[in-house]
Amino acid sequence: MNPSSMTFYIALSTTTYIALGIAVLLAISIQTIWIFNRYDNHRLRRILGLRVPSESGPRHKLGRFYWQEGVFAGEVTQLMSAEYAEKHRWLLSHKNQRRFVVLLVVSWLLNLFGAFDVSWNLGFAGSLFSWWSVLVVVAYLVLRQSVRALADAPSELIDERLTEVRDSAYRSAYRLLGWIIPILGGFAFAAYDATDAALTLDQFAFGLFCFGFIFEGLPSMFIAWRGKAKGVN
Amino acid sequence: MGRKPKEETPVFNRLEAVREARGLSRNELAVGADVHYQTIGYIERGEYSPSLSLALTIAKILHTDIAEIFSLQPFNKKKAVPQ
Repeated sequence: MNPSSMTFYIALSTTTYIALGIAVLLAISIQTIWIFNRYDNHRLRRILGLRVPSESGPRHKLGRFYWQEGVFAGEVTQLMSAEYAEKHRWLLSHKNQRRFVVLLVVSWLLNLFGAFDVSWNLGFAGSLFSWWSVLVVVAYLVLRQSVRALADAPSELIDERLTEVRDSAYRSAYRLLGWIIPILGGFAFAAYDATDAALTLDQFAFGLFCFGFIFEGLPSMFIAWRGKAKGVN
Repeated sequence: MGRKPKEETPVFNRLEAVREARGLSRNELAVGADVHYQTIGYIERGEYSPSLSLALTIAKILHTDIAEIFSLQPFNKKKAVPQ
């Protein structure tokens, strides 16, 4: 890749990553609005001093908010229910959960190779690789949605079996991360040492993006991959 | 992913038979024991061994002795379920 196309690739990727950041924030905001709309017990409206509408139709109580996990008690209860599992079978089926894991791993690897500018001779322009990160975000959000009932649940809201499933997934994930970090770090160091190039801020941002997704997504990937074996939705 | 878990001493149970004899559904038992609705199924199939406190809770809900439901020896199928 010549220097001019490299500059174009990095510039485009930076823009992409800013757009992706906004997309993630937007997705979280939509989810928050959805939660309040679904489980509204008018607490937010009272806090904001807005008019409280009259009750109509069934509403689920939000209950206590767990700051550390970022979930409401009512939300976890609802996500764990048999009705939710029945309604969102495609999202919670083990086969699909494993597909989400594969999709996230593949898109993450493609993104990583794009970020470190490793040529695969696939006929793609370097800049195209950065767009694989869109797929990373999509795969990550779908995967998270499929396992968040368990991944985000406070211990007091789940039983001993589910606690064991969740804890063992986190243990395995971070044990694996203990191997991944030195290997990737060594690879990155060797690559830059061999080319005698300085690490730019953009490249550092790419690395951080990749690391952030694997750090945040790996426990969810373990939960999703083992899902059926432990019977967890 | 990963290696096989350590072999544990198998715990046999006849929870399904006792529960049905009491006329309780899995969901009703799960609500009473304050566990996820799938957990009862996992225990019944022998895919999960409950903790002592959960086993005692289940026995209490089913008004029977813990040894009538859980055992380290396989249950004799001919032996009647306690009423």
